[in-house]
Amino acid sequence: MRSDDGIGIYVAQKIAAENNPNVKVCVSHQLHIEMLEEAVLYDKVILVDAAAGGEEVVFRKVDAGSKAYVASSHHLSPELFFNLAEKIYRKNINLYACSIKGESFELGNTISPIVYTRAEKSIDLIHSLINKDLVYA
Amino acid sequence: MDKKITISPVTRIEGHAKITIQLGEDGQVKDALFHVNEFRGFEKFCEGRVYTEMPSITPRICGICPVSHAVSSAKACEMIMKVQVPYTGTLLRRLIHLGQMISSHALSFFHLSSPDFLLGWDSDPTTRNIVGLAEKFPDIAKRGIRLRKFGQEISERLTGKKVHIMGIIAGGFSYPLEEANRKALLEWIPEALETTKIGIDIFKKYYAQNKKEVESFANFETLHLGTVGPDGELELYDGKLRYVDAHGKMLADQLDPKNYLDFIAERPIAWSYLKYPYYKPAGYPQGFYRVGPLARLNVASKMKTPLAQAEFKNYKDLGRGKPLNGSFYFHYARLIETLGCIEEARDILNDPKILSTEIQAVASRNQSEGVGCSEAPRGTLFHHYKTDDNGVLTKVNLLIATGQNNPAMNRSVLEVAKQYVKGSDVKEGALNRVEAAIRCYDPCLSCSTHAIGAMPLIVEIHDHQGRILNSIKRG
Repeated sequence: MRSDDGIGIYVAQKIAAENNPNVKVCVSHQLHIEMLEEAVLYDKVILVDAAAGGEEVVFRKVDAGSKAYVASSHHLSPELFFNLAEKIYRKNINLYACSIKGESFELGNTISPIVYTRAEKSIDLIHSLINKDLVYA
Repeated sequence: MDKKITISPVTRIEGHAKITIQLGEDGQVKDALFHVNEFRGFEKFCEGRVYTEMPSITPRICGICPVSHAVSSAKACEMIMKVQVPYTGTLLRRLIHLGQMISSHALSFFHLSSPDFLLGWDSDPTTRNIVGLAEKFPDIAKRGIRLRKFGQEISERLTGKKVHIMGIIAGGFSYPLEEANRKALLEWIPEALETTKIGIDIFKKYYAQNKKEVESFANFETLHLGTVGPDGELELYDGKLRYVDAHGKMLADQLDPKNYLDFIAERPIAWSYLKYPYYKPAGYPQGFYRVGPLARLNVASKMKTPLAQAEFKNYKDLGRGKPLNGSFYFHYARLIETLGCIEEARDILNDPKILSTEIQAVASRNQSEGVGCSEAPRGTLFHHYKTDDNGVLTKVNLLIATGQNNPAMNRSVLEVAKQYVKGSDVKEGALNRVEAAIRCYDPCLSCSTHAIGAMPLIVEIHDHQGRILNSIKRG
């Protein structure tokens, strides 16, 4: 409903269509705390979402960070997600966040052409990570 | 010189807001206000759409109570269509509605409020949250997550989606339940009940150690509104409305929700986008009322299931049969409801007709106007639609639970501020208690204002001339 906000789902669908038996794709409107239980079962977890600003595509490894956490069911940061996995499940998730900059978040069900291009770039990065070609500091 | 304190953002609530505390010349709290600074625009946005789209559009208002919006919306549409939902369609709707209630209540208690119970009001605010809880009580945190997951899994197994579900449509439900999913959900029941009982034990232990504080915390008289069945049993999905006063006197019973404008009025206030609803026959401000778990248990004569009924009796005994007006009891009421929801979900899953595929009725527009009502996790939720001859919406009114609790939230902040805030140098524990008064209501400001994005919350202390003496910002 929010135009380029749907680019994460687009990327997820493209990855899912590849039917890689070693990859499970989950689509959700937001990061949820109950996803932790499943996330800790995987070697790598990649979160893909639209971003309102910043670089065109940002791919980063997530750790606990140092920010103060504000808990809300409407928002769960990747850092808090990582932190909770460590504290509750005693596991450091190999967690990555891929942010794709959107151009329009107005009401609408189409994605801007330039954002599709960014999505393809992010898919390449995801492939690289899945294939262990990339090392992130 | 009068002084004013502002708390912003209020943490661990759904959405954010601002609290202003005004001090008198003697340094004592003179007034306190809870501000919601975001504009509510969803109703206007929906005008011009076809009414049958509303059960799909309105769940987007909120990721916490999308099912209640879908249910109230579908009911409003069904009134326009004059159609009756088949038995199994209603069962499936009830089930998914219970799942949402379990999920929301689990989040509210275990992740947003239990840090206060388990870590203490005066503990370090940077860790007095879900992270601190996970650090010191990982098993409770995990149980809370799994209880929430159970609620979400009901949605997922019924519709394929955890959030912003699409299965509730005007006329019934979209997907029949499969046997494998029925069995999988039933397997959750023992664990879900056990976790909820642990939550109740946490509350009771806290109560035993802090009885005076629990009883006095934001304790004031208001009316209470909730939905009940024909025998006065607590009802969440469908029923009639009951008002009781602060002493338990029945003011009205078996009110038809479709006539809500006959007994509820709203008044705008200067400092917030949230209006002040009130019970019309009692007038303003005597007609202020509360909704949600506390109010529902206060108006109800009984619960529908045995474990919840046993705990309900304990709840009623605390007030010697009278309503509990202390806001802290919201937490207890929430847990009792959770118990009842899990039991009712089990009973629905065991209903012989739950797997039937007769889940939808078809009709078209037969009148211009419809009202739908259900009990959302935070309280009674009304959807009211008016349409033109083509079924296009010309007027939409959504009366949201958090909005109805707005007068009581303001009053709660005032009561707690009077009790704990002394002067403009606000101690952390006092600050958190003021915030906690709001958290009792588990308000969803994103829902009630339909805000886009995060709203930080600020607490400001002002003097009698409106000058800011202290400002605390969070989030």
